[in-house]
Amino acid sequence: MVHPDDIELKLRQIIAKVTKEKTDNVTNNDDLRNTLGFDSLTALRILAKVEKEFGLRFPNKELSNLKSIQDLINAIQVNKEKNT
Amino acid sequence: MIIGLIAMSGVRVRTQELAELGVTLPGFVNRGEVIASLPSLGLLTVAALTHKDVEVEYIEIDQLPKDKSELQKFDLVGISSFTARINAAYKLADMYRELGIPVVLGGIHVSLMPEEAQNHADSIVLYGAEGAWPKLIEDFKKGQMKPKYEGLKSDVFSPENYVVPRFDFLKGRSYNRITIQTSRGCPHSCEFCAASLRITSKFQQKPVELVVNEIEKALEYTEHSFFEFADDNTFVNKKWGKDFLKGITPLNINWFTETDMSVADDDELLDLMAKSGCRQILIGFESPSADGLQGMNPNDWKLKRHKSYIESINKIQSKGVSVNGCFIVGLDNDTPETFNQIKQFADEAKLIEIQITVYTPFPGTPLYHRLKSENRLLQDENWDRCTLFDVNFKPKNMSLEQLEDGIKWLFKNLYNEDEFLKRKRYYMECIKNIDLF
Repeated sequence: MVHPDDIELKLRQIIAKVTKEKTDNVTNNDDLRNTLGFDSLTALRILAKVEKEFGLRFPNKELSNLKSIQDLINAIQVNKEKNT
Repeated sequence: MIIGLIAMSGVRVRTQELAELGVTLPGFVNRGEVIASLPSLGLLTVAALTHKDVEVEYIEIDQLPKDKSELQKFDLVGISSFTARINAAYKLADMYRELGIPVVLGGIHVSLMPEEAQNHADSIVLYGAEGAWPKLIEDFKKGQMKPKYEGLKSDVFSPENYVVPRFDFLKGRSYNRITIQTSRGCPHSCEFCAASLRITSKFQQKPVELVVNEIEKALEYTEHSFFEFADDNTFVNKKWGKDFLKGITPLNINWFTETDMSVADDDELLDLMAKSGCRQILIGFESPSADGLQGMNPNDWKLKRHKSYIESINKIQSKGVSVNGCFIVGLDNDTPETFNQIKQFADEAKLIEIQITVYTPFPGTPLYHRLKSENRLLQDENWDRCTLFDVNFKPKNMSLEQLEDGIKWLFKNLYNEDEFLKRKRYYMECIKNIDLF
């Protein structure tokens, strides 16, 4: 199982690359869209790159619930287990 | 001296059932009864045209104070509105005039229906505010304001006429998109279109360096960097388009605009769009069938493009640029089968966003004059129904009831959770296949 700290580090790299914003001031529980101020399509771009980087697929119905880094860490852990 | 500039933002759909279904214009905002609330770029420009010795306040109609003494603080009030909210604008103008405060009305509807507007205003401004507003203010100061001023119909972006809109008024306000204009007009001259070409003499394009400067200025006053280019058709000129995209790429913004499907012909342009932060383009496909496009514009430009619709959509979306496909229902060749055809087309083309609007006879358009001459307007001059979602004409090849039922069917079948999720998933799959970095 991948350690949550490693997942977080990778997620922050992905978010920074997609949004071109630094994530230093974003806590794991912050709503990413509100904190970084991006649009719904950018949110989907992040999810697409997370799925690709981690080699998984979130259920469609979960997509709207993935709002913070912590949400993503939890969903990656659950879906990684499902996919293995 | 203090001037209040009041923006009539948002459109409220009249048909209750449609409002409950959640209609929307270009859809980055949540669906709701107020559609796509954006700052009034026209009034921000009017503010910039006002000499510095005059104090200006910019107010969104929803933030207008209820207290009468607050309302009375202005020496002059300017109101800009489009057709769907013109009656609310007239009511507001009448109220200010009853309070003894002179009112100036402007905007596209006023330019097209000047005599009607003059019943509610001390003065009106026709066409662009450039060339009219500074003179109006000078006359007002002298107590000699005239009942009508005609602004420029051309050369609005030339150095002697151009001003940077007052983006400082955006500070502290929660708009989800900031508007920037790069051009006025569109060469396609579609019969139904009430675009700015109706109030300009020719297509006008802003020099790239002015657009870049405006975006930089706007970024000084807003936390969010999502822009909407408030154009009728941004990429008419591909050479200008490429220079423009190269100019905005270093600004790290995300953006949306309206254009036509000819962008799909040019790989370099598409790559530059994706690289410069284009999240979505709205394209007016208007009809899924060639029959529906017959006679839509003088040279049948859209009809000639019909065969390549799906190929063009696929090409654009493969670059990570989502397409908001716009269809008009109630066209003269539409039948009760058309609604299902639109749904089928949207599925086949895998459009990431779809906009359905009703054939709407806006004042001043060839469509309005034709429907009026054919005695097909349900209520002439019922501007409240010019929302793009409420029907105000007799359809040709179906009954009114069939049209209204078809619209509701389309909304239910295009705008539901399963469809949203399907479109979101398809966008994600497109993004996975491109290198964003």
